[in-house]
Amino acid sequence: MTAAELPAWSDAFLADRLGPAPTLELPGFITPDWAYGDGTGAGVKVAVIDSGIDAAHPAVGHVDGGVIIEGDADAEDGYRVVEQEHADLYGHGTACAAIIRSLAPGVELYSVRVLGEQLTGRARFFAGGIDWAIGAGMQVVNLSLSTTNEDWFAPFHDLADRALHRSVMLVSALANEPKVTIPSDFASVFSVAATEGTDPERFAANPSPPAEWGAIGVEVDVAWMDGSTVTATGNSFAAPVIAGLIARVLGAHPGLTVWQVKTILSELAANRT
Amino acid sequence: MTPRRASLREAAVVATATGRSLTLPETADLINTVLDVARVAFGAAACSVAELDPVSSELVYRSSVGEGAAETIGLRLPLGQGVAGYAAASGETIAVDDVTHDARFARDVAERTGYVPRSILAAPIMRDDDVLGVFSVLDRTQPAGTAALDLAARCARSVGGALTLGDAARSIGAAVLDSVAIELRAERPDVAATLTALARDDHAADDETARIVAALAAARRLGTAERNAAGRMLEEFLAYARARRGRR
Repeated sequence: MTAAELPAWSDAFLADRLGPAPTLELPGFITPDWAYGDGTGAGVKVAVIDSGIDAAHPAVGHVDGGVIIEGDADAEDGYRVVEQEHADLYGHGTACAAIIRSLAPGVELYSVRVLGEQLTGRARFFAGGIDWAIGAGMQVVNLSLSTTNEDWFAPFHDLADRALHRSVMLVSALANEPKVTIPSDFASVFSVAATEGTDPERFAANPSPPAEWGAIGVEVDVAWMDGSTVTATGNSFAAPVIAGLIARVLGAHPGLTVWQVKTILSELAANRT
Repeated sequence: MTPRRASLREAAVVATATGRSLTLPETADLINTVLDVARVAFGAAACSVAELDPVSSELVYRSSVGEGAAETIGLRLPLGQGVAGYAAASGETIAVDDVTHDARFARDVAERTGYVPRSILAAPIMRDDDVLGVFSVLDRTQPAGTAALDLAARCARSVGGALTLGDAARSIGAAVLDSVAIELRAERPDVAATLTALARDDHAADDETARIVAALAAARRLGTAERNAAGRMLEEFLAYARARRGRR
């Protein structure tokens, strides 16, 4: 049978086209030492879609690049991507970046600033940030933001699928809303809620998602504006914990798929029996 | 019955039906009730609501209870700074439990109120995906952990409901005023103009007694039932308009 005779999509499975299946060389039981390797996440590209990152904050170290997503009425998608260094408007993006840096000090950090003074059409900018991150080859994307506007269900679902197919890990904080939160409710996204505790490696896997992962985020000390530190609570501080741990795993095991990383994290979860 | 009379009768029916809905509890009272309850539930020093002014891109503190409440009302916080600013920009609930080390935590605003908090809990007030404002709690003592975030989000939803009801009442009232103004435009342009001005929230016309008299005079040519209905209707409208002006 030739490719022309096969149903759509089946030609990818012809013997001369099919590549090797995604591999996961298991050592037996999955252990933290195996999963995290040297624990640095060296070389893994991580995007923080937020309020910007203060590269000068001692807890951040440095930022490898960044873009601003801002409104542009003349643009086809209603926004433009401006490639330039930028400050953190609120401190929140710096907090997320510092959490990731503390868990995976070898990552390349990229700031995608989508929060600003323009509050209408926010979902468009969030989507623009994810779109940029996927296109720019980011491997982990931390999104402490969401929308409840169901008009955006399909566009975000498309982005989540594109990320999945390119093995980009989308890590998204759940909102404190009883409604569907987009994109954190999507199955391929690592959706994260805050739990109490002090050990970031003691995270939990929920067998009944959409709140899939629980990580510390209650009264945690986080980096903030002007080199300062504050104590803060929120799901948005738990998401970068999971993002940092994923970066460690990808640093030790490049090329893993989203589902493989989810499997590994489940095996490392504190509530694993 | 002439088309105009029929239309006025219909307007009177609409006014009677909507009269009760136009006399909602004051939005500010509803919000203050939420804030009073919230302050007890959180064991907090103060609770406040800031509404977004889309023209100036500022958060304007409209309601506040507790420490520094009187000084807080009317304060303006530019978007792009502060914990409340983050809640508005991100649409996410956030608690910063110790802000004393944050050099840029809108300390000047806090000091203007005479009360500098140690902790701030801020939840966005949303309508669908749009941010209407921010609900803030200063120095809460309870509940512990993420339950505080959930409670704050619920309070913000209640405030959002109150703001939406107020806006809905204003929109319905304006629509009815406009429709009656259109009916009266030919015969009583002065009354029509007054009603149109009210619908557009024009503060220039404020001689309400004269307007009622003029309206009743216009209604003299109607049948008794319609005249009475139209008179009641106009009184309802004017009472509504007075209440609306009082809210601003």
